[in-house]
Amino acid sequence: MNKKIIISNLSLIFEEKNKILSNINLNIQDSEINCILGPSGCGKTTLLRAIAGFEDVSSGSILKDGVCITNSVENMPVANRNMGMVFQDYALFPNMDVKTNIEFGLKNHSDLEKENRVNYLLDLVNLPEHKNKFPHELSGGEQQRIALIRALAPSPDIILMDEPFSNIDQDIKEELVSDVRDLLKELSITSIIVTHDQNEAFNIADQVAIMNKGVIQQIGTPYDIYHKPANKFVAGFIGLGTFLPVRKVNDNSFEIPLGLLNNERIKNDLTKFENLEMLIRPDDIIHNDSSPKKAVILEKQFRGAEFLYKLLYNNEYSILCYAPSHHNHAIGDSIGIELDIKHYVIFER
Amino acid sequence: MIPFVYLGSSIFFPYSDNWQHIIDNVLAEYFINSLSLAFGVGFLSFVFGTVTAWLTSIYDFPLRKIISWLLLMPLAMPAYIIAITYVGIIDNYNFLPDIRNLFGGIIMISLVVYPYVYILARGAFLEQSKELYENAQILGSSQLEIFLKISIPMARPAITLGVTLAAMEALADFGTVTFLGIPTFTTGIFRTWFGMNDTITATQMATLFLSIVFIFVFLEQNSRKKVRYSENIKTQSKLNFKKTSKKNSFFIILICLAPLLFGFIIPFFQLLYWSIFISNEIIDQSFFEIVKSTLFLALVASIVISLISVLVTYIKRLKPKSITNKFMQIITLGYAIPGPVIAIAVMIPLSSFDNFINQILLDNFNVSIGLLFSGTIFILIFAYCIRFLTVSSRTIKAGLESVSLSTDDAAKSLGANNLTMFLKIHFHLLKTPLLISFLVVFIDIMKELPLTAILRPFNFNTLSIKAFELASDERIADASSSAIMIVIAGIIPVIIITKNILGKRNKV
Repeated sequence: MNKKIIISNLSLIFEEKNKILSNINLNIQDSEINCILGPSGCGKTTLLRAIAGFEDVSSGSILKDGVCITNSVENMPVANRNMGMVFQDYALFPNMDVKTNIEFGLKNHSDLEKENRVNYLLDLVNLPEHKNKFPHELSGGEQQRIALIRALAPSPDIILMDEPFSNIDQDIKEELVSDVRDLLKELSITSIIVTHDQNEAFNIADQVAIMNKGVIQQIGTPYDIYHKPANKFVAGFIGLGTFLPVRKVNDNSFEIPLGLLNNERIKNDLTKFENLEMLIRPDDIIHNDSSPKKAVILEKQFRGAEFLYKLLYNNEYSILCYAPSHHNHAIGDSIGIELDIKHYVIFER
Repeated sequence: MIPFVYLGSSIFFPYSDNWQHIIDNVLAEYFINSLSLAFGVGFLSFVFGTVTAWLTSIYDFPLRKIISWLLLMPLAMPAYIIAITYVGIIDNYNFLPDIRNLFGGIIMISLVVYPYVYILARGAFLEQSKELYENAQILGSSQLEIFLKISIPMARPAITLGVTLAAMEALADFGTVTFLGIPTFTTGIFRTWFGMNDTITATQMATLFLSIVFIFVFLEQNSRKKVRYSENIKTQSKLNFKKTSKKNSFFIILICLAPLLFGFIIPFFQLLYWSIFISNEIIDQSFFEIVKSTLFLALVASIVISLISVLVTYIKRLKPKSITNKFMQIITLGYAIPGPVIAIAVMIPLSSFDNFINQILLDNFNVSIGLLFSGTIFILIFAYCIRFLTVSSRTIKAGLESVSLSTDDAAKSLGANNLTMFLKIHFHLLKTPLLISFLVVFIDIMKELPLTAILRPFNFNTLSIKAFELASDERIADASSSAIMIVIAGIIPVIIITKNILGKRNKV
């Protein structure tokens, strides 16, 4: 797979002390949807703006198609980068109608070409009837799609999106996310999407980069990031889960409070370290009424098809467990549980 | 910039004996009077402005719409003209208290500057969300409590700005205090300059005064930095006007009419009456000449000032860290600087520059071009720029700030350069603020007295100078025809501005 963008050792230091980005290394794959995911204030938007050319960097470089577009000395002007950008507040020009907004980036086109391009793009997002409306007459979702096709209009190499779904109502968000994914895939355009919402990232991305405090924590597919988190931050940030201590029984066997660990690879790894703990996801625990191991229900959340139970095992360890919706137990009840771990995620305490 | 450097350097000039006299006899009085004037006007316009703004933005009562824009009318009335009018009225009715004192001055100025507070506070009140207001009601707050504990604190940035503008106007006032015989810093500088003929001492006094103003402005800007309330725009819905009983409506109308009556209606009709029935001043060719030159001056100056404002605010947006900004922060303090101070600061460097050029030309080519800058309308426009750039650039800055920064980024990412971005996007969004800035400066220049009086070219007369000269000669009724022209010319922009602002509100 081609690397569309190569970011190496990129750092951005603000006013001497404040390190906003530190030593970022990230490859953006061609024609893929790349997500930068992290909590607010982690520097993800700054990274995106550095790629777009809005920020000057302190050190490191960004290469696009093998050409350096940003380093500490030079910063190719935004207009020359051939990137489209969608902003969190969409930034549609309020004084122009939809058509004029989309045409804005189309230079050196005849009127007919512009007209055709606008119509084509509006058809792509199923909004042809809004051509002559003004931004304030559109709903949030409509504005978002117009902002996207406005960015796509000049046929950019890459599309950058900054929290594109954060102002969208929950009920239409999922549909919109998958519509946008289909559109980006259909055009097979390289895209980088910044978000703080992991569900959004999982729904849309081919590759996810997790960021915290200006540092990239892990890069991988959504599946790998969920099941093989690289460090404790990622494990805690992505998905639900609790940590259980890992105890050395003897040189060859280890156990966690719920049972023995009998995976050869793990055994080899573990002998080198002490003071370990293991990530237990709610899907690692199976509710089974006949199991001899019992845990007390502390809290429960009804989620439609299933319950999420927060349990206390052995009066000491709290764990999470999904159970089918018809297994409706009361808080304080003891229920039977079993371990069913597919991915062993172990960190030093 | 040069004028300010000149003022600053004046502290190194030799101090004349006049200083001793000033310190011993008048400095304390100038100081106390100027401060009392600023605080008094600030306080009174706060009361007038916020109370009327609150009543007209919360309650529904008969004539609400018309009253809410009539309340802006006093803006068209210069303080010295209202003072002249009231002195004229009081001279006719002996039982009325004399206003030729500090207290009278405070009331006169407050009556015409409270609309600054009113318009800003009302804007802020109308923007406050319904949810917030209803929430307070659910939590058991009374109307008064909501006003004092929520609406005013939420609107604090806007109200502070309005009160500061009002207080600065009072501090910089020249016409009113001169006419009412209140010795302040402003008149003191003027008196030292032209009465004692001591330019250097006048300059040094101006510098001292300016340092005090700077401290105030600095404090105000700092207080604004700390407080920043923002509401979630998405969930905001506008408040419905509250229905009131007939009795309450009557009181509300009465309260709102009071500042309007005294600040506009009474003086306006009195002036009208004088100018039609009493005035001996003939409306002839020379009068129209004065009207023409006044309009010409105001027009040229307000266009120049608005253009400069656009330029500097735009530079600030594009390059937030450039040196121009520091420079601008100083220049835009102009509004707080009294006319005579600016006059000194502009006059002396420019005339020495003129003399210098003249000398060179005379020595080398044996020609004299006269006072190229200081003797022409150029110096007036230059001085107006210093004085009114604050007003103009604040309006334009506010307009530009309402355009989100990502709009700029979006335009750039779509390949626009700064000029295209300005012409295609910002200019269209700035039309209203530009118009408002132009009109506000236009009215201000028409009303302006001390700068024009000191710096005008020989034989150049404006309405304001004419009115003031006649009034100072105790020919108040004769002054009325010029005064009424200023007021009428001022009304037109006020109506346009109001319509524009109200029209926008209704659309939303």
